[in-house]
Amino acid sequence: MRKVLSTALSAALLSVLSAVGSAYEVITVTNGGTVQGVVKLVGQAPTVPPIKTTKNQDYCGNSIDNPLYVVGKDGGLKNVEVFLKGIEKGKANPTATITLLNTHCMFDPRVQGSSTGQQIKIASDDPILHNTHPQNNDTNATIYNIALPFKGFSVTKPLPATPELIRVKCDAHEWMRAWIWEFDHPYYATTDADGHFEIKDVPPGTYTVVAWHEVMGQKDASATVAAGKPVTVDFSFTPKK
Amino acid sequence: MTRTAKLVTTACGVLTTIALLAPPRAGAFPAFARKYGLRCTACHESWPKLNDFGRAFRDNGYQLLMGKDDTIFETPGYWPVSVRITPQYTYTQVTNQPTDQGTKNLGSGGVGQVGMDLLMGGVLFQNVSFLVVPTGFAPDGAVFLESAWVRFDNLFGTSWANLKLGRHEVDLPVSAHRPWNLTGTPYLIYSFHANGSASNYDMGENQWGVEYMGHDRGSLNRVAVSVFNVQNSPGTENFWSTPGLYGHATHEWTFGSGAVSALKLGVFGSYTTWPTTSFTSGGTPIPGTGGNLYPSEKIGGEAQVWFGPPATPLHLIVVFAHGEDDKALIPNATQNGTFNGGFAELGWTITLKNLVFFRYDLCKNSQQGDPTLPQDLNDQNAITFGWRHTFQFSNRSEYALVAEYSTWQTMGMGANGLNTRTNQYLVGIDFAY
Amino acid sequence: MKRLSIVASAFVALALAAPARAQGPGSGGDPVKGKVVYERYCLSCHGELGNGAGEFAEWITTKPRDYRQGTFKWRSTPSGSLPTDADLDKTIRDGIYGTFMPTWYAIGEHNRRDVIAYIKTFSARWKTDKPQPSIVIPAEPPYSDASVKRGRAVYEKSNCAQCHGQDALGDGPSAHELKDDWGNPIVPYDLTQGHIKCGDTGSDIYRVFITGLNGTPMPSFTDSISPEEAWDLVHYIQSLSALYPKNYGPAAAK
Ligand code: HEC
Ligand code: HEC
Repeated sequence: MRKVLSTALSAALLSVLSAVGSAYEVITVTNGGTVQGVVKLVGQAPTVPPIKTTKNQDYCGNSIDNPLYVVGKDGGLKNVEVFLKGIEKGKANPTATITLLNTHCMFDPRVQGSSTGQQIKIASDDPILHNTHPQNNDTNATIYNIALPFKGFSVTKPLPATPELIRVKCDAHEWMRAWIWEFDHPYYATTDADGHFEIKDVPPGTYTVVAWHEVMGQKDASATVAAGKPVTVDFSFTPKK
Repeated sequence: MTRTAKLVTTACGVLTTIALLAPPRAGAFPAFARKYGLRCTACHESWPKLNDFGRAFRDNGYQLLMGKDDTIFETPGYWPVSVRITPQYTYTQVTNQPTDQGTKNLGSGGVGQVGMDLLMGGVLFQNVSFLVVPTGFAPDGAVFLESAWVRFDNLFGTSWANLKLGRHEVDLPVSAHRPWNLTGTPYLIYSFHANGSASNYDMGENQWGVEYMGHDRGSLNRVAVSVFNVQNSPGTENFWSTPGLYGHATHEWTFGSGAVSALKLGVFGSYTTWPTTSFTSGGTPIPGTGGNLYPSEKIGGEAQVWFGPPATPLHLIVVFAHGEDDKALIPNATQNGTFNGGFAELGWTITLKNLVFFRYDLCKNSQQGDPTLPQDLNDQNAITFGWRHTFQFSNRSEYALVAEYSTWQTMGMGANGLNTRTNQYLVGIDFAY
Repeated sequence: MKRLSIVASAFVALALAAPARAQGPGSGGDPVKGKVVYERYCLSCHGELGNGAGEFAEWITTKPRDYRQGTFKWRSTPSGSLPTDADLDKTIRDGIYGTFMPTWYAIGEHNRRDVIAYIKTFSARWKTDKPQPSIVIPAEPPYSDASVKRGRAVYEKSNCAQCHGQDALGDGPSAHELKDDWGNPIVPYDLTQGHIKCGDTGSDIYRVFITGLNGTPMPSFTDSISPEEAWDLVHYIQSLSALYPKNYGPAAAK
């Protein structure tokens, strides 16, 4: 009985996995639309105390601004990942290598998107040891853990084969944090300093647009994209008191 | 002693032995399971019999050698004591017993035969282990030490040099203290002697002495030699008044796949002495006066095969030996008494919680010391089988339900030279903590 | 006696005639049989669900491995990769020194092969992913003072001291508050102890810092330390304790 059950379960699991894995189909998008907008923080950004560094203070300094809420012009919120959820068809994934820099005892950028098949260049500007240790955000499973022992060192590594939300840490400096959203499609953008985002070449249709912030979570909106036209979707996040 | 008188004594002997035989079984030691977080199944094929992992652990001096072998002083809360309790109902029937009313079959049975063993053992210092089993209460209330030894392991940094001092069980092919059965039938060959021999040497009994033991990693090759004083010989008192020697060597092959997962072959032998005279006082030998030692010898081999998945094996054990007792030990003997014997045991661990076992014991005289006696006088055979169901185990304790039957036949030793048969039926609980 | 030897040789023949195994150590096991092996030996620590929460787990500090992520520390494969079957067999065979994970040498290859197949059923990762090829460890150059000295320089250049400390006592500035993937506290190894957790040989030390220990802060230095430097670093670590066996070739099993 147990055996039957576990076989059934693993079969189910497998089919789910393969469903996720094979979802995206590349087509030629000639006259796609654009999803654009601004993500805003409503009200006052909570005051976050600066990070107290506990090691390598001679280089890192005693404290570093904590970049959890980076608010720009008119309340625009930086470092929000906006993406089209579950899009099944569209243009090909980018192939360029993305970068994650260890600089001044922090990661840069803090949040970025990527597509399966891309590579990541992990580099260090700091004269101290860092280790770049991406983990699956849900399971904590180590993706890899690379030592960057000295200044100017860099390595290029493939991203995981399946899309996932990746949380990056440096064990040597526990305050360092970065987020890499990996998708099986190319329709995502990270908001800039003023909270703007723009997702181009979207085949016409209706989509769920998701905005994700590392502390304030996710928000969904629906958007109908018409050929060759922009559609504006704005998001606003209210921080918990 | 007249023939009849002797027979009566033997018969009573058989009965008392059986009554007293909730024999001390050092079997299982859940204290180790608690210390190392392992279930009993890690060390026992089906407890109390050890498996390869348990043997290697024991051979390493109760150590796993992974830097976690805290001594008994280091880990508070780890108390190196185990108990084994075996409440049971046994019904025993012995046939062809002489009584004033004629030849009768005698039966006896009862609940409340509770065997209880207390075991203390562990690591005193790194590479120094010990075992103390105070079992049994003599009629005068004194506790006697079933087992009490200290072992120095891995001398000179090699697993080939381990020394055990004290009262220990010699390195038998199959431990007499870890039988699967709870009935009184022992491995007959261990205690068997040529008919009439005065020697009471029982290989399965713990002996005071010294054991050298060596083994390789995983104990696939092992050798053990014990030098000891034979227990219970009349008129002896010091450690060397009736010397004995025992040796055992084995080699095991393990196979990575296939129907046979392991095969073990071994040889063993013993040379022991027994006094033939001593001064007596009121018929009781005076200690220290035993003399005129004469030898008994046994030499034998073992083959053990594990069939099927090694985690739930079908384990076949064949042990056989040839023995000889000096004629001086045998009344009216004109020649040495010789015999052959052994047993075949089959244990099938069907699931981790269920074991069925079967054993056939056979001992036959091949030459009577007194040639006028029938050749098969005192030949013995026994069949034992049973089922053990462990209904609960963890890394702390185990409970098992046991149901067994055994029948043990002795030739020509009953009333009027009839054969006797002892039948035992047993239902019980085996609990170890 | 003669009859016995015939019987014995029949058994040997029977056993040897068993289908020769196609794969290396640890491979090709049967997960169904492996479940019983697991229940017999491993359950009390690694738990019925393979989540490392067996009945004994709460009593010990270095927690038993949770198998559900497919994350394993000791591997010959690059950082992040699954281990090979031979890696798992080695870990299980030799145990993890200084932890409650025993050496399972005595249970034999057959059991280990089956239990490895069973362990893999706890993580779907084994179905979707494959171990990457093992790293190549070049032959060990002889242990020498000069090599030890160069190795110390590699230790400094590579900043191992950040975690392991200047004197490799496991007390570097980042040694505290480290966590593993399972959220348990973890400390950098004190390399002067003379026995690393998984293995005795130079190549065991080599593979640790070249491939890293997945699930822990111990990173992979494969891109920053060359093979020559790596052997020098191994020799430096070996120089920290008389207990490390020196010049112990990778082929030699303990
Ligand atoms: C007494 C507890 C205990 C038992 C029993 C036990 N283990 Fe472990 N095991 C551990 C601990 C603790 C660790 C983690 C050690 C560490 O991470 O330093 C571990 C880790 C492991 C690992 C991970 C190694 C790696 O590279 O990450 C494997 C594989 C493993 N055990 C297999 C087994 C198998 C197979 C069995 C049964 C045959 C078993 N264990 C029985 C305690 C145990
Ligand atoms: C970011 C912190 C960090 C850095 C940097 C680091 N280590 Fe480690 N190392 C660890 C931790 C944590 C462990 C303990 C892992 C465990 O116990 O499971 C460890 C364990 C080890 C071990 C023992 C592995 C075993 O099997 O027991 C060795 C050898 C080792 N490190 C060597 C090095 C060397 C050489 C360097 C530099 C090239 C280095 N480490 C750099 C954190 C680090």
